[in-house]
Amino acid sequence: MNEKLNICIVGEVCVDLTLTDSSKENKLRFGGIVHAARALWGLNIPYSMCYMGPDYFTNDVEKFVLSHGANVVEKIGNIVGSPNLILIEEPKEIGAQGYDFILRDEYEITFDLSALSNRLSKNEFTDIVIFAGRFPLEPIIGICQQSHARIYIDLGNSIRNLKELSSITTKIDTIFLSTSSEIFLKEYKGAINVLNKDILENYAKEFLFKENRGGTRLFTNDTSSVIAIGAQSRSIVHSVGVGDCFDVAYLVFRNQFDKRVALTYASWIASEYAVTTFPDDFRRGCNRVRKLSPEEIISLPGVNLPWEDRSGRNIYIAAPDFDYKDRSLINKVVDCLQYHNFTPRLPIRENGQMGLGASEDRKETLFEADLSLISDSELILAIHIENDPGTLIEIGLAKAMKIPVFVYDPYKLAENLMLTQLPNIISSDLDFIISKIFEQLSKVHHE
Amino acid sequence: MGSSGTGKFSDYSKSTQANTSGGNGGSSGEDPCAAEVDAVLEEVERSQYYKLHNSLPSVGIHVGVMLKERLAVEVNGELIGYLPTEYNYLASCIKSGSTYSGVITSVANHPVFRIQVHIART
Repeated sequence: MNEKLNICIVGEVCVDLTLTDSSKENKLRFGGIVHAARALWGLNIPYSMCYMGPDYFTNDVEKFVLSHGANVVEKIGNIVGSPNLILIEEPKEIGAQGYDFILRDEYEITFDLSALSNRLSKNEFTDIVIFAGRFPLEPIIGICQQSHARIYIDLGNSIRNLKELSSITTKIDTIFLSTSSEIFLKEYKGAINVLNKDILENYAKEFLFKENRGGTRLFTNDTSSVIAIGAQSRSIVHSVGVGDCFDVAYLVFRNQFDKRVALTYASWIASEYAVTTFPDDFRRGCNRVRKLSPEEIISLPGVNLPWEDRSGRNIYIAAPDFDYKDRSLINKVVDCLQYHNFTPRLPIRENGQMGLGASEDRKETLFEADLSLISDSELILAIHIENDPGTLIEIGLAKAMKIPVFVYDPYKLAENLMLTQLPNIISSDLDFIISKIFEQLSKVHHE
Repeated sequence: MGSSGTGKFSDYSKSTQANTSGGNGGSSGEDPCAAEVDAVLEEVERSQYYKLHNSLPSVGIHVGVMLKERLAVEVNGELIGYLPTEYNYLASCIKSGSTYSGVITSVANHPVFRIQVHIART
C-alpha cells in the first residue's frame, strides 16, 4: 500500500453533448476516458492517457488533459467515419439514458500502438485501466499483458459478449461492469452469479459490479465473501462517466486503504462527480471527501439494494391508467422502474378496465383484484396528473394499511391538505422519487 | 434562420463562464455546503430525546447538527433524529470547517412521528 502510482488510462475519447431545455445552453464537454481523467485530476493524482479519437479534436483534447493533471498523452488510434459525438437526452439515468452515438455504423479505427508499446516496454505504468468502447479489445489487451502493470478493464456498454476478452492469457486484476451493460442484461440475462463465476474463473481476480443507485459489490477470488457498499443517494445533475470515475477512484484509494474503505471513498467521489459538470466544483468536493477519516466515511450509511433483490418488489402504480387517456407519463415512470429492475404493478392493465355500465359482479371482481394487488405491494407510487378519484382513494387506503405512499406530482397540482400531508413523499422530480424508492426498499431489504 | 450552439470546449478549471446561461466554465459559483436544507428526520421514535421526554420537541426550537457516525440533529445535546442519507455530503462540509444549525419547522405525531427541520450553515 501507498505505492507511488503511475496510472495509465486507455480508451476512446468522445464528445458528450447533453441536450437541455431551451432555457439553457447545451452542455458540451469531452467524454469517454476523459471522465476518468477528470476524476484523477480531481483527486490530484497524475496520470498518463493513451487514447483513440478522430483527428478533429486532437489538439483540443490533448490541451485539455494536459491542463488537467495528465503527464503523458499519446494518441494510439485514429477514428474515421464517426465524429465520436454522443447526444445525451437524459443525463440523470432516471431510466435509460437515451444515448445517440452519431454515425456509429460508420465508425472505423486504425491503431498505432508503437508509443504505448514503447512505454510498456519500459514498464512506465503501475496500473493500466482500459475502458472498452467500440474498438477491438484484443490488440490492446495483448500489448498491455506484456508489461508488469496491473490491468483493469471496464467493460462499459459497448461490449456485448464476454468472449471478446478471450485474448486475456493471465487473469487481469479487476473487471468493472455495471447493471446497464449488455453483457449483464442480454448475454447473462441478469444472472449475476453466473456472470461472476465466469469472470472470476476465466478473466480476472476481482469483479466489481456497479449497481447504479443500489450500491456496488466486489467479488473476489481470494475469499467467498462479497464486499457490498451502499450508494450515496443525492440529488444529481448527471450520471455520465460516473462509473468511470468510480473505477479510478477505487484504484487510488485501494492503494491507501482496505478494499471496503476504498470502495466507500470511491462511491463518495463518484457522487461528487454526479452532482456537477464543473471541474472546480468537483475537485473541491473531492478535497472535502478526503477530509473524512476511514472510520467516519464507513459509518455513514448508503443505499444498498442489489439488482436481483429488486425484481419481485411490487410497486403499485396508482394512476388514471385508462386506455382512452394519455398514458405517456405513466409509461415513462413504468419504464424507469423496470430499467432499475423493480416490478411496477398496474391494476388496470393487469386486472382489466371496468368500462361503463359494468355489472355488479364485474365491479366486485375488479375491486377485490385491485385490493389484493395493493396488499401484495411494498410501496404505492401514485402518479398525480389529474384529480382522479381512484388514485386519491388508493393513496388514503394504502396509508391506512401502513403501506408507504410516494406521490409523483409532475405538474404540481397537489394542494389539498390530505394529499400534501398524508404521503411519505410528494415531489414533482422523478429523479428524486426514484432515489427515494431505492432508499425505501433498501430499508425493508435490511430490516 | 441563424444557428446557435456550443462554440467550444469551455469546462477548463479556473475558466470563467462565457455566457449567461450558466452551462459552462470551471466553476458554477455555487457551493453545496452553503445550501440551506429542509429535511424530515429519520429514527425520531428511537432517538434519545423521545426516549427521555416521551414527546417530540416543539416547532421553533433551535437545533444543531453534529457528525456522530451519522449526521445527528440535536436539541441541547439530545439527539432528536438523523438527517437522511441524501445529506451525507454535509459530513464532508463539517470536516472542512462548516458548522450547521437551524430550527424545527414542523412536528407531527400522526400517522407517524415526524420532525422537519430547516438547517443552514452558520
